[in-house]
Parts: sequence; C-alpha cells; structure tokens
Amino acid sequence: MDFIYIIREFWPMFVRGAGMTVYLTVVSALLAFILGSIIAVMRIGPIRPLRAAASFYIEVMRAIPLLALMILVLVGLPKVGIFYSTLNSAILTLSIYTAAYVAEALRSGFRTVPKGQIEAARALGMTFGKMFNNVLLPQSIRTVMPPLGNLLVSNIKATALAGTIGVQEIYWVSARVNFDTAMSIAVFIVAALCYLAVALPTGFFWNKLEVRMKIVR
Amino acid sequence: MSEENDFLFDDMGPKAKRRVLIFSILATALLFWTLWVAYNRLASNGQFEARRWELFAHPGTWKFLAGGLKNTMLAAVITACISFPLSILMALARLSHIKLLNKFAVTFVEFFRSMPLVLFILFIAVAAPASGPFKISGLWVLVTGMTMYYIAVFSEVVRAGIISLPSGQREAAMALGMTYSQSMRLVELPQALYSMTPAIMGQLLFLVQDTSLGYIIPYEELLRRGKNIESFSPIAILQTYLVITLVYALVSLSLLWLTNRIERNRSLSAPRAPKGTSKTPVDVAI
Repeated sequence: MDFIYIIREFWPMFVRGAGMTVYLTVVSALLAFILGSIIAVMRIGPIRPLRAAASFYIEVMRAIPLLALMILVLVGLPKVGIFYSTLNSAILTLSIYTAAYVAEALRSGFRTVPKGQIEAARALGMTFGKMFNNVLLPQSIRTVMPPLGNLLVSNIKATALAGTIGVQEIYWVSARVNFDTAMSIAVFIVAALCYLAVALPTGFFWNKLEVRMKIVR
Repeated sequence: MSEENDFLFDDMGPKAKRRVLIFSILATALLFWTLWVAYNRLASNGQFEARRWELFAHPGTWKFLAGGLKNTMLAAVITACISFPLSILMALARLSHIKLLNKFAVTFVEFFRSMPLVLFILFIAVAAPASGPFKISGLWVLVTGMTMYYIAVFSEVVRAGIISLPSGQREAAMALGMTYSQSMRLVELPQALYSMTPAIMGQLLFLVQDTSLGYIIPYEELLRRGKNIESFSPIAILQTYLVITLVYALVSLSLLWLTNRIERNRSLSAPRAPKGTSKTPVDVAI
C-alpha cells in the first residue's frame, strides 16, 4: 500500500518536518505573545500616540494576507541591508502577524473585567501600572485563555506558509516527497497525520492549562 | 476613535497631565525616529531610485494588477457563494439527532478546520488532472480547497449562533405547532444569522485574504501577478510586493469599514430586548 510505503521510506523526513513545525510554532508563539502584550498595553494606555500606533499596527496586520507579508519580509529585509535566513524571516513574519491578533484577544479580555473592579482599584489609590498588574491582568488572563489557544492552533496551521518560502517543515516535506514519488493521496494522508500529531497534543496541553488556571480562581 | 477604555484611568490632575504630555511627546519622537531610520535604510540602499519605481508609471502594470485583483475577487466571491449555503446545511447536520449525519459533520468540520488550507490546495492541485478532457483550471482548484475549508469554518459560526439562542425560541415555535424545519427556517436560523453577522464578516475578510494561496497553484491572482512582475522586472522586487501588500490592505480595510458600518447600523436600529429573551427580536431579524 502506498500509505505504508510512504511512512516506511520517508518517516525521518516527516519527523524532521514535524520537529521544524513545532519549533516554528513555539518560537513564533512566544515572540508573538510578548510583542502582543506590549501592543495591547500600548493600545489601552493613556498615551495617545502609542494608542494610535498600536491600533494602526493591529488594523494593518489584520488587513494583510500572511503569505503576502511573508514574501514581503523575505524579499524586503535583504533590500534594506538586514540579512536573515529563510527560517528567521518566517519566524519574524509569523510573530509580528500573530502579535496583532494576540493584542486584540488581550484587549477584548481586558474589556470583560467589570468596571467596578477598576473603580475599586482606583478608589484604593492604585496607579495605572499597579491596577494593571494586580487587578486587570490576573482577572482577564483566564477569559483570554480560550482565544489564545485558538490562536496557537491557527499559528500551527500558519507555519505551513513558511513551507511555501522554503522552510523545511511538514508542508515543504510533503510537497517534496510528493514530487519524488507522485503518490499524492498517500502523501497527503501522512502530512495530515503529522499536522494532527502536532495539533492534538497542543490542544490537549492547552486545555490542561486552562483547567489549572481555573482552579487558581 | 471612541475611547471605550477610558474608564481605565481617572480624570487626570495637572501633574499626571504633564507627565502624559511628556510621554506623548517622547513616544511621538520615537515613532518618527523609527520611520526616519526605516526611510534612511531604504534610501541608502537605493530603494527610492526612479528606475525601481518607473514600472508603476506604466498603465499596463496597473492593468495587469487590476486583472489579478479581479481574479482574486472572483475566487473569493465564488467560494463565499458556494460555501456559505452549504455551511448552513453542515451546521444543521452537526446539530441533528441522526447519528450518522452528526458523525459525518463532526468529522468533516474538525478535519478541515485542523489542517492548513495551503496543504489541501497543494494536494488538490497535484491530484487534479491538469490536462486532458477533465482538466481543472487553477481557479477551480483554489475554489474547491477553500470551499471545503470555509464550509467547516462558517458552519461552526452558524452552529454557535444557533446554540446561543435561548431555548425558549425553539419551545415557543414547537408550542405554536411548527415542525422542526419550520422552527429552524422561520425562527432560529434568521436570528442566528443576524446575531452572527459580525463573525461571518470577519471570516469573509479571511476568505478574501486566503485567495492569496492561489500563489502556489499557480492561479493568476494578485500575489501571483506580483511574482510575474518580479520575474519581468527583478529590479523592482521590493516595490512590487509593497504595492501588492498595499492593494490587499486597501481591499481588506474597505471590507472592515463595511463591517463596522453594518454593526453601527445594527446597534442603532435594533431595539434592546428585555433580559432573558433573544438579543434580536424576531421582527428585526426577518
């Protein structure tokens, strides 16, 4: 059977591809979370130019297809004298793109915290920073866990686009193996299984995390 | 920009106002400095030279890009028109009590939602006959892949709309002697679709953007046309993709603007229902 043959002959490539997908996902998700938090704070803070810059950034990122952005970064950076490998360009693109969505998710989480909480913090004389750290963030992080999980899963899917510019992850490996063997259906099934093997444990891990954070409350 | 977050801080006193002003000036300076550095880098690498931009002085280039945009919109419209009605059926199948139908819908939706769209499109492109009597064009490869994916995506939105309705709606319809299909058609679906319009519009935005995956087939949409321009005039590679990204941004922003407008009209026109009933009264929904 084609399917067995593909697995037997090409499993090291697929395993390496899955490893690359995991690496891309983890690194870009972490960077996106850091950048996204900064943008979210800029977006809700009292300093108007930063607010405008943050909302402009979010709008622009939402308005551009990821593949177009990826190609733009890949061809653009060398033109301004910054040389990154394809892999690093892909990570950079995924992070700055996902960061906008992280910022939006965090902001909508901040909005679910009841107004009275903020007013109480203010009545206690907390500064904006103190209020943010001790009142707003701990309460909203739980409501943003499910949307952040969705973003993580869509980040896994988005890493496939890194394959189109030559990063050797699952998509790239499957295109390559298909080119060599021309057994498209079997290769597709194996690639799909690889993505499931990455996505399912991630979803499982995230659910665990959500449950843990709920208990703390 | 309405400031919905203004309750996060107090009305400021003179001291805080001064501090915010200072930080504002610093932040503005920082932003302009960043722009200036970016400009300088581009300029010192010769990216503003006329020879790199003269391509865009020809109307032919713009005609070529407009053709790409037309193909992009064509793929998006066909996909939306096919996948949306089918997604309603898929949502109903997922909510149905017939085990087989339900299992099928769950498998379909979960499978297509968890795979990268680009992977389907690649394999449909590879598996589809590219020549001979049953030849499938790039457009239909793209549309097929996107339709499968967006049936799954839209059906989840529609399903969420239906299950978020208060159960009283269904019960009332049943009490009036409506059949299941009447209750769905006349009571539940209109309300679900109405309340889910923002989410549907949001997914529509992604749908338009995802047509850029036609790049890999290749289907002659906007991004692919950029590749063609690049191979025709490699000197303007950065400029080409910059222009294309801007075109995408303009298209998406106009869609976002439309979404906001619809939402604003709704919030003005929809009377507020008493608590515990549906958010959207039936007479508004129909």
